[in-house]
Amino acid sequence: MAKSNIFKGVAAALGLVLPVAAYMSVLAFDREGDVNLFLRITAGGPADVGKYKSAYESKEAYKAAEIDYEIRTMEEGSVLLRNENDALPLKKTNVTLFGNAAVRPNYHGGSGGPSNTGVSLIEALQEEGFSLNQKVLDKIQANGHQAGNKDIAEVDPSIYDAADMAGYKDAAIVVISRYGGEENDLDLVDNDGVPELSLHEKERQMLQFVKAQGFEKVIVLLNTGYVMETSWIEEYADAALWIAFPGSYGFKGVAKMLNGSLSPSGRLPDIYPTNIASNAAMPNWGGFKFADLVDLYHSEYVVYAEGIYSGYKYYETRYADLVQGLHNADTEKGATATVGAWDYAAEVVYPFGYGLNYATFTKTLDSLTWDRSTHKVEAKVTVKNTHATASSRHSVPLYVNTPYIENGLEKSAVTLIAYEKTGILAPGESETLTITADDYLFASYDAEVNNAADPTKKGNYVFDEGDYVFTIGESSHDALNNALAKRGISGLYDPEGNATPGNPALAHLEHLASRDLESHAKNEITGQVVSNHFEEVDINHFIPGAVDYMTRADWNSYPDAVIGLKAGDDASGVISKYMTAFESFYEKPADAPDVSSFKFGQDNGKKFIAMANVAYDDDEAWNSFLDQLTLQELAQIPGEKMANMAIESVSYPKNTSCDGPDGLQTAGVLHPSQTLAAASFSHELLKLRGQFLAEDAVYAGISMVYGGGCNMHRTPYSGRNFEYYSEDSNLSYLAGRDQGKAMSEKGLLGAFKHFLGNDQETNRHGVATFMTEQMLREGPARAFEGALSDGGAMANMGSFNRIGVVPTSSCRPLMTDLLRTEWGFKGISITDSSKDAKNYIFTADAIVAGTTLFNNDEARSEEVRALLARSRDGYVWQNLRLQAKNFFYSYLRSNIINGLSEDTVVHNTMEWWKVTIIAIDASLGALLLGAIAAYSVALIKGRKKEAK
Amino acid sequence: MLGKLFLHKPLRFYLELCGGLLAIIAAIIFFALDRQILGGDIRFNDSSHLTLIFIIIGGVLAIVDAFLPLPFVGIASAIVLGCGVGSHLRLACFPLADVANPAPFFTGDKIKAGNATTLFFTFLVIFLVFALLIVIANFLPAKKKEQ
Repeated sequence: MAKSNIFKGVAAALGLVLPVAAYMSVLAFDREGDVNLFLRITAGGPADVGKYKSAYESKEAYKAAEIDYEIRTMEEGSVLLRNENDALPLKKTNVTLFGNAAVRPNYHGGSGGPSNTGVSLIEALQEEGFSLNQKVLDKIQANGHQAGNKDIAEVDPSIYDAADMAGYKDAAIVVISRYGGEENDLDLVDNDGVPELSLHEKERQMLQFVKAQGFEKVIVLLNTGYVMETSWIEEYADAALWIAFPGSYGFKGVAKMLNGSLSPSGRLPDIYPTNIASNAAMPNWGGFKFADLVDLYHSEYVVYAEGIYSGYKYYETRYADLVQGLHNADTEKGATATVGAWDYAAEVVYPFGYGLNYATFTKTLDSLTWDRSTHKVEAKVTVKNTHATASSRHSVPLYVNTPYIENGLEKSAVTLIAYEKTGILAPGESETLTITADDYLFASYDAEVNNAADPTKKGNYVFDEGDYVFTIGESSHDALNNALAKRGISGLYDPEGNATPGNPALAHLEHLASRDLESHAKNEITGQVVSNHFEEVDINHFIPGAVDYMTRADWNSYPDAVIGLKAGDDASGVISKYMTAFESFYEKPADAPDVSSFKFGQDNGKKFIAMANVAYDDDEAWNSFLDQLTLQELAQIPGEKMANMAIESVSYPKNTSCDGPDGLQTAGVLHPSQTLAAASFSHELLKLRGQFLAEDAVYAGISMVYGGGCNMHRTPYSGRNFEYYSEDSNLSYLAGRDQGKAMSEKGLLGAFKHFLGNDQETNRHGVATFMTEQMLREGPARAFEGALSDGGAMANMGSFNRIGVVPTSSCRPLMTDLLRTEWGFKGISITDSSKDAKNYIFTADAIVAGTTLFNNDEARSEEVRALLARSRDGYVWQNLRLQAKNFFYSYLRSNIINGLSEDTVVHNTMEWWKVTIIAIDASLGALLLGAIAAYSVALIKGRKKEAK
Repeated sequence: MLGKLFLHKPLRFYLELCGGLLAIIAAIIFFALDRQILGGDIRFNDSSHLTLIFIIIGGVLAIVDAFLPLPFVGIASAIVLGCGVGSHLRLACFPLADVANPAPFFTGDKIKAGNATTLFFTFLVIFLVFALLIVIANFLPAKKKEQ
């Protein structure tokens, strides 16, 4: 072979390889944060020194404690739905497992955080001394696959053979599971052609088989982070336990509950309807398109036409009206489980807050006061364990029934406002709990009234005149019945349709003589006037009469699907302006400050760590500190890449962030689902959750986690319900407050997500989300308020949807007026992965709205540089400095400061993999040039030779 | 006439002609299938049109080099095809990530992710094979040895 051909061939080979390598290098650099997390390259402070050091002496000690905490979460959060004749705990140990999920359980839903693995149910049962029917397990193993999208993956029930059951009939444990996740709502029509959350034919056949085998007991485990339709439980199961997604070690807790070492004490965080289609949000859940818009992320909407009546608030309020013969509550509209009149007992299987226990308890309401000056409701409740043998914890939720004024503000007939939980009570033991609620949690938002503190503004939280009945109960329904009984209303019945008088002794009535506009005209924490910010979130603001929101005044208003909205029907043109924008709609304001008013690159001798004790409001100190940043450094901050680079001028060290919320993406410990933690109705447990997430973080070198999750379970079909607390905004408020506070105290920036209104995965990118201001404030916003305001969490993650028609991250009324001004939030607002939303989440728009960071999107820094250096936009500069301050202020309250002192010198270094990649690319490039040069020389020589 | 164009040519001619032509056809088929399966409904910057452009240019260069063997055209063909393959591999990583991770973040659908991964990697192998034919052709002489 001629030399020239060899060189040419080598050049061609290198010419093929080099672009491929270069493309992969570009991808790796583009996804730098993901690569670093994959390689476990993190940059937190040390775990064993500093303000936010681990509370444990060693990693081993912390790991052991974390396993105990996971087991405790299962104990306190799992909900015993049924336990006929004390079927549980099991006293005999030869058991047979059924269902694909017995072998292939779901430890987690499909979302961020550690992988879907852990100690299996089989391993956990064996550890607890159970003897398992291996023949059946082998058949399930051989015939199934892991559940996925639209696929419950239940094995064909024909694999089960009666002959295999001999010797293992002490109990059948049937595991039923459902799986969903990010970008993956559950389906109304799945691969089996039925609603995914209903009982499927294969499952029914399996249960029928089990029932026919003569097992002493049939136990059902619901391994699902979603509400299921469960009316079949009564027919097939002696006992049923909801265990959600149990995480890495949760099945150990399940096994301990099955044998009675532990007693489940959770309460349902959602109502369980007979038919989920009856949920008032269901007609308007899913995909809806503006009839005259077409582009992806720019054409979809969803309307919260159910108003404030999400979840149990709909069913219980309608029931309250039904038993009083009010407001056409018996209309067929919305009835799914009955033909004819709507009936609560037919529509509901398990109410919100329901949950049995191995022990039995009596409760007495010793006292209750509503102190109007401190805005606190305080109840003292004595709980006594009356069971002969079982010990357990027991939670006591406090509810309120508020007065409804005909055609006035929408009000739920019953609202959870507080809870407390006992320690483990031995038989005969009692404990008196003091339950304290803030009355803000049952004030109603009136968007029409003038604010009492500033009459120039509209909007005010109010207490209407009338009777307020505070009550404890075993569920939302039980509590409502007690309240209605206190009001002297009869004709009450329980969820099974049995008549009940209610228990007025567990209720306390307070009368308010006149409407109170004063108490919550201002925010209690910040003292800021609370007024309307979200008129434009209501579609009727743009297109009058477009939607009839459901009203308690007439239950015939049960929503229909809102279809066929047209942007063109909005005379103001605002809908079209925002929905069709593919480029920034930011306009520099006329009064924007001149860039010359900002300093940069100064040497003021102030290091990052020296700002640790500087108050947020000390503008002089902060300005002096920020003046030291170069333009480059200031612009670098917004471009987060699952990390932020070090800033050498102020000795700010590199930090690392990762996804959550049920554990850290890199740390490998999968926590039980957040909804299960909320089901504990335990402040202590949520604090523990926050603390252990922070422990995970400090050992993994993580300073910010994208979690917890505070979106609402608007319907059971939302794919991420498992990692959000509840359908109830107050339960989310209280759980988020406890968890957020614990995370902050331990130096983990919890970016509570997805702020706000991302209550479904379908069309989550760019979907316009419409609701009334009352709904927004009492529902989705309140769900975050506990964590971000009262709880002092130092971060939030935005959502992909729009609030109204404005992307949430670019919505100043949301990101600044509500979050920062009204609630007093001083932390970091980070977008969701904005690289994937760049055609509607625009850089300048988001920064001036109040966004601090763009998640996994370093390219935004380039845009910011252009805005600062070329456009010389003083308004963007001003807002950027404010967000830089929020950034530093937050990270000064994170574990990144562990071990940091004024003597610490900070340098940016390049990760080893980047150096390697650059070296490979450069070498290939050099070789290619060499081969081309050699080929050229050989070619020239060859031609000369030919010429000769 | 056709016989003169296509018969009794060196191996290099056939490798470049087949490699170039088949790569172009494959790129067009891939592009059509990509539109059909993903339909533009993806969360990443779908630059599959770049794959099409690079492969077509690379393929055309290979064909040109087959008929008119010029000094650097064969190398240029390999480089441009390398850009096409690289672009294609980069794109293939997104649906693959969706298959590997719990959430189908880029395609929005696990089934779509699976289909797209199969599509992308099938054509990755096809493009790579045709590109390798052209690389091999570059090692070979442009003219048949005189008998």
